[in-house]
Amino acid sequence: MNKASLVVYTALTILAFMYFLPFWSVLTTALKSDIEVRMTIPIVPPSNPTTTPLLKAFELMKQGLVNSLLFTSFATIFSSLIGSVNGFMLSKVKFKHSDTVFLALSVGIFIPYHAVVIPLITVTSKAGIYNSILGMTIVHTTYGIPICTLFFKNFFDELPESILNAARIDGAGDFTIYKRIALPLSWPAFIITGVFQFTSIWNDFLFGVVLTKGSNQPASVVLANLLGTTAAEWNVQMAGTFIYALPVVAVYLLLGKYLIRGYLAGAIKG
Amino acid sequence: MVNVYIKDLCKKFGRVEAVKDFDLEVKSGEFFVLLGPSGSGKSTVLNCIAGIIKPTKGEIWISDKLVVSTEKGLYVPPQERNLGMVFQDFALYPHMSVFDNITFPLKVRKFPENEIRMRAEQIAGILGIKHLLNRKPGQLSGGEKQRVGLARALIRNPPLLLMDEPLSNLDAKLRVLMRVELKRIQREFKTTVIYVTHDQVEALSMGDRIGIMSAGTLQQVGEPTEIYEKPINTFVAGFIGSPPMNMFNCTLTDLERGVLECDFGKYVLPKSVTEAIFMKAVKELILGVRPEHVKVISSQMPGAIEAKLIHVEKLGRELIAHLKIEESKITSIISPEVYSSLKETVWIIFDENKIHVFNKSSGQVIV
Repeated sequence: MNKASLVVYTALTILAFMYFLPFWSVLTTALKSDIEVRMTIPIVPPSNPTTTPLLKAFELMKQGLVNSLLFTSFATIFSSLIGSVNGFMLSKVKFKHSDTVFLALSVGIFIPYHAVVIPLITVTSKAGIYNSILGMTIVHTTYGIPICTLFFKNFFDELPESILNAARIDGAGDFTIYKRIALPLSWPAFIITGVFQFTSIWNDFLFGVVLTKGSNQPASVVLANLLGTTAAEWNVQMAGTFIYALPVVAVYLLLGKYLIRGYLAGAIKG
Repeated sequence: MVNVYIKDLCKKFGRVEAVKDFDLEVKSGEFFVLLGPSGSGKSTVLNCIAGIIKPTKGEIWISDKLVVSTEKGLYVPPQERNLGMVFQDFALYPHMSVFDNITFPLKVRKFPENEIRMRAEQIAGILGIKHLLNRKPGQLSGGEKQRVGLARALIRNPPLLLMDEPLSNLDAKLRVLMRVELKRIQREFKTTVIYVTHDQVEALSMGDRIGIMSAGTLQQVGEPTEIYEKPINTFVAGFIGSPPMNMFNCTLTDLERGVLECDFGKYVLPKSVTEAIFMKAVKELILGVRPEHVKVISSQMPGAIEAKLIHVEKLGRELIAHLKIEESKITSIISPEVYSSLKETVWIIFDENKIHVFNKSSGQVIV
């Protein structure tokens, strides 16, 4: 190893270590007892690991986790499916003013959550879905449509036109082409969109805090309450943080290799 | 078998006129080749016939069915045109097996399961792909993909088969094999074929008739020999034939005796040609001679033109001699025996019965 790469690797190792440190502290603190938390600094491993904080945090967050898991899963599936149909239509079928529709949808990506909070409360109340899992599912699905559409349109743009023309000549209508050809071919796009949507919906705090109350609150809000209301129970708070991070980590571990393949799918022509 | 009739077809992409004033009748059972350089609009014509693109103007009839008419506002989508098409990039469905690929047209049309199976077996047998039925397109070679694409296009036994440069993604050896194969399949299936290519060898060897396109217009339609021997303008003359026809700018200086002042010097036209030009009263001409009609000799003869031998390409059976008269370049096809007798200075004679004379301003043929 030459000098330059030694420097680079050292710097990268330090940075990687710094990046990893908070997560490590979460884990160590979550496994310590109340007293040990106060006696030691966070990065020191627990001398006598205990699962009590984890169990306590889980008990407190149970309902929130179920809520989050429900609307995150449904909203991810629905927004991906809708995005897939939209992307296919905008990329391959093309209709009058389809470019304008796409432009309008793209603008949707840049609308900050905060700008729509008050109208959202009004609309969901009037529609009778305020403070409900259904409401959260619908709101997140809707909010995810622009970005999902963009993902899928970009993916379908790469699909050779001749495949679709072949299918048309073979007698397939637009719906059949979507179902039999576009849908099965677009699994890489589903992986990317799915992971992206799952992560961002799971991590959302703002919609959860303004659109739900009490037992309907998502895990992100419950976690925040845990941090705010309990008087410095660091171990329970860190255990909650750990539990909260688990589903996202699981999704990445499960789909990581497909994710990379999906990102590359456009680059390699079959 | 059906005939195809195209009337006054125009297609604009934005401001670009890809095809204009296109009229053609393809006869029933014919192997018709549309030949032209890239960008000449030949694929656009094919896609209009298939229904993949809508023309800006014109009518297309397939047999006695009007499939598109801008005047009547009629457009029949490709799904209902009852034709097969083979694509340059094969356009196989990558996620389906070969069996699913070739039976897709039947499955979409909800054919009964046992008939699908029977037809797949039959067509796979004819095209020699029976052993590939369970593979995915990614596991096939170019030639195999081509056969699968062909099987998919033919499985419904369509009366009309369109092919868009189907051989251009194959290697040279396979191309020669597939040329013969395609002709055999056409005869076997008794289908009308419209075949698009930029390769003149494919066109001349396969086409019953050829239509030559340039810049969106049809230049000439005819049988291969007719196109080769009687090109109607300088474009067709220069495009067909390899090496291309020798062409020289000339001015008619003596109308009575048919004396031309050419790039390379004086040339006296034969009497029959002179008479034809006399009728047209054109002075600025282009003289064309195919390389095989330029005779090269080693010693001077009356009427022969002196030239320098620059280079010889040895292609085995025949040689291509590159010659220069003053500053004009000229090519000739000679035999190895003739070549062995040549020195640097040679004399050339044009075969008088095989010369072509074009009007320089219009490019149209005179003789």
